[in-house]
Amino acid sequence: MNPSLVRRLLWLPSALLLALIGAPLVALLWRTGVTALGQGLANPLVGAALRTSFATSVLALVLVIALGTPLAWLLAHERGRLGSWLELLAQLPVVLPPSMAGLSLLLAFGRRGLLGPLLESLGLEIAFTQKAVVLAQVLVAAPFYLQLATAGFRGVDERYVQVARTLGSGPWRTFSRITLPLALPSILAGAALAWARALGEFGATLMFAGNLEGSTQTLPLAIYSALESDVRAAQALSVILLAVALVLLVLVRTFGPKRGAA
Amino acid sequence: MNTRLQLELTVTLGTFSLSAALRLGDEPLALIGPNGAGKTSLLLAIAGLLTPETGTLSLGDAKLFDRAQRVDVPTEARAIAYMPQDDALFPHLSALGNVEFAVAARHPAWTRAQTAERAHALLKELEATPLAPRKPAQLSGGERQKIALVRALGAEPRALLLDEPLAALDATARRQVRAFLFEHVAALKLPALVVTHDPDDVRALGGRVAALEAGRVIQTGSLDELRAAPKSPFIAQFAGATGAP
Repeated sequence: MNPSLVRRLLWLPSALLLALIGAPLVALLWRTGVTALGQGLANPLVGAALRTSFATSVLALVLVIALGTPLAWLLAHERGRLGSWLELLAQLPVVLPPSMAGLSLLLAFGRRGLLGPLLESLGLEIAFTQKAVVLAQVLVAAPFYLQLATAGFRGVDERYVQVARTLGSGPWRTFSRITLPLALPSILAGAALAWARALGEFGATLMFAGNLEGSTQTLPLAIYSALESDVRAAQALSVILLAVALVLLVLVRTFGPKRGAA
Repeated sequence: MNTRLQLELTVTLGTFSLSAALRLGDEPLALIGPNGAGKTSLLLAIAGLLTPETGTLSLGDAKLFDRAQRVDVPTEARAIAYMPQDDALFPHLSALGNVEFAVAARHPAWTRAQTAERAHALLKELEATPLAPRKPAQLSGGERQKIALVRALGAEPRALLLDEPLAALDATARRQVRAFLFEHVAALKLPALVVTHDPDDVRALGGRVAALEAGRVIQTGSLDELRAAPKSPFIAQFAGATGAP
């Protein structure tokens, strides 16, 4: 068959899928408009949810980076069966249904959960607090960070590290001056995707942290609540999330690992 | 010969076993051998990047490795600079940045200005000043080797390990870089082990050779000695002997 004809035929299913992705976005922007956006943003639900989402997702991101960077380095250097099992475990939350993740979090950290008595003896209450929001976000966002950061560390040629050490550079200096800068595009891309995922977290948060306005109600939960009271507020919140997600994605594509690289 | 670098090491890698004894004075020694003979592994073991099974390694008065006495000085404290087959310039740093990295590793207490001053001086000494601001990707193969050598010298090494430094260059560049690089290496008066597949490299380095085959040093001597009495077909071919042993 004529290659240019094949190419044109390929556009048919492609256009359908792109339309399916694009249509809801167009509808959201079209139906919201500038006026409704202004009115929606005035709803008191919006400010509280924005504050909650921002505070919890930034804290979750800090935790993901602080705990995930050492793990990503280990995963990149761990050869053999243990490494692949650990990587599988780390990737699991990506494919888990969020509601199931939320239930499991409750069963682990809830008042009657596995670690409940321990947490109670420490005076820690997690479920249905902002701590639970952060934990749920860390759980669902960490795999995105781990995947890209691990790939970033793997992509650093071992010879650079070897040469740096023969030049007299100790392990820490070699890591901070050579390994980290070379892996940085992947690490930043992972952080941006993880933050986007944390901001969008819904199911696990609802199950594990509840939907308490001004406390555990994040942007996605506020959209869900506003649907019953003030559709314009729900739309305005959606537009905000869309804008943030777009900005993050553009950042990833601009500063992230170049195509074809690690 | 005044022995500076002395080694007797056994390295096991899977089913491959490398068992080599060498003595180097303050001069280059060319290390030749067919692919898979263990040349790179030997360099890595000397640099401390591979841990030998048994043996000893000393540089001057310093004992760097001794299995029996549980001595194993970490790579960064050995002061043995290693230039891998591909120069491995740090791609995110400029040529100057690469040299500064080495200078700062050797002199952690120096200020940035002191470090930069030394790096500039080294670049000037090796006629590489115009290359200073360029990233490795903007350098030719020969220029990269030059910067790699300047960087190695920035760490003030007490020994040098070069793994086929000219392998990636075309014939013209190879001639130019050979003269420059090996002249400098020879002038350093340091023990330098240089892996090569080219008899011209050996001549430029002063003519001393060690031949490694299947993990064993089977012959050492001058190129002429090897040609006169080669101990293997590989050595005969390398040294340009007329008859096989």
